[in-house]
Amino acid sequence: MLMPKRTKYRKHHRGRMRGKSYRGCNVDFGDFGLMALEPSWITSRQIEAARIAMTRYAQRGGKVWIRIFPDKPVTKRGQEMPMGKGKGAPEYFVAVVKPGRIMFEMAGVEPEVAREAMRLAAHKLPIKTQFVTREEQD
Amino acid sequence: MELVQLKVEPRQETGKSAARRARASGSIPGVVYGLHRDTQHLSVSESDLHHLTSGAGANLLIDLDLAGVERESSVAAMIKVVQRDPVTRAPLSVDFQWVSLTELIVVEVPLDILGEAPGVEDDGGVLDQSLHTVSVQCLPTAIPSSIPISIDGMHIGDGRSIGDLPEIEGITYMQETDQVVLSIVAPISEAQLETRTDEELESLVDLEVGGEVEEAERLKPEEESGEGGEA
Repeated sequence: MLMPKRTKYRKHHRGRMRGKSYRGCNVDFGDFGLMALEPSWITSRQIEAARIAMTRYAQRGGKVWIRIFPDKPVTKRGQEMPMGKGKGAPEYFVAVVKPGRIMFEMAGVEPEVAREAMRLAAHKLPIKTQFVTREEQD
Repeated sequence: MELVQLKVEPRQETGKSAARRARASGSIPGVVYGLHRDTQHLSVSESDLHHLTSGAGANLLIDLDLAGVERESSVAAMIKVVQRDPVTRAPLSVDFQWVSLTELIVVEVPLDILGEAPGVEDDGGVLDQSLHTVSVQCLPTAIPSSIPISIDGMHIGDGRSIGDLPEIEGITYMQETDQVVLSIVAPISEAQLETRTDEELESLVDLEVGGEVEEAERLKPEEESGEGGEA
């Protein structure tokens, strides 16, 4: 699973997800992409599950790029804990995704195969997505 | 290369409020600069810009019809960049650049892959295209619409680099000659695919079940007692 090798600070603030993603919003490496239409945190497990779904469907062909990286630690406090005693322990990492972000890219397969692979991958993600191609982005 | 006529209006108002008003009325705010001329603010019809950018491809030479600017036969404009909305892809802003038709410029030209590779068709290899455009230096009037590259006769393991691109008169490739443009890579075998995905799934399950403890331990700071705070 994707996670940082080391982090400068163990715990992050939650932050807000306003606006659109003006970076990473073009299909730059492959021919097809999966674009986020909603803001969300995507966990490293969701990214991994989507990637596996994609590579499984594409079988032998195709090349996949993951354009998001889960670098934000999410903390969780234990169950039935009383109030106080500070922030919980880091549990997992998430990638902050805003609308317009190209999360995955694919190349080396037919458009129909890429579309279906992306559809299967999208089912592993907690947000609405859109299949995009390099040609139609300009 | 023929110049494409484009009528644009000078724009007096600047700033985001004016730009939003312009977009709401169907025109896209833009700017034209270059050749040490004064920068001019302008607006262009959204439909005209759409026709310009959709059909003919990039690197068009444009004869800008802008009030207050003298038209010279040796100067044309080119689209430098079109800013787009990340989700809707609607144009937000357009930058034009003046170019002299007698001076060399560097532009990005798309690659056009021709032919069929036996490595892909027969052996099931995957065409891995590293570059989709190449950087070329040429006169504005000699910009090719695309650079053809043939993949005929390519087998698994073969590649094409910048040095393999066809020599076209008046055009210089700006990238290193050994930079790879595309290659045919071997597909992973069925057995490898099964092993790989199974291993991946197992690792995922491991992490879901027992990985949390390990992960939490890994994340545990040396100075745990110092953090956490006291209520």
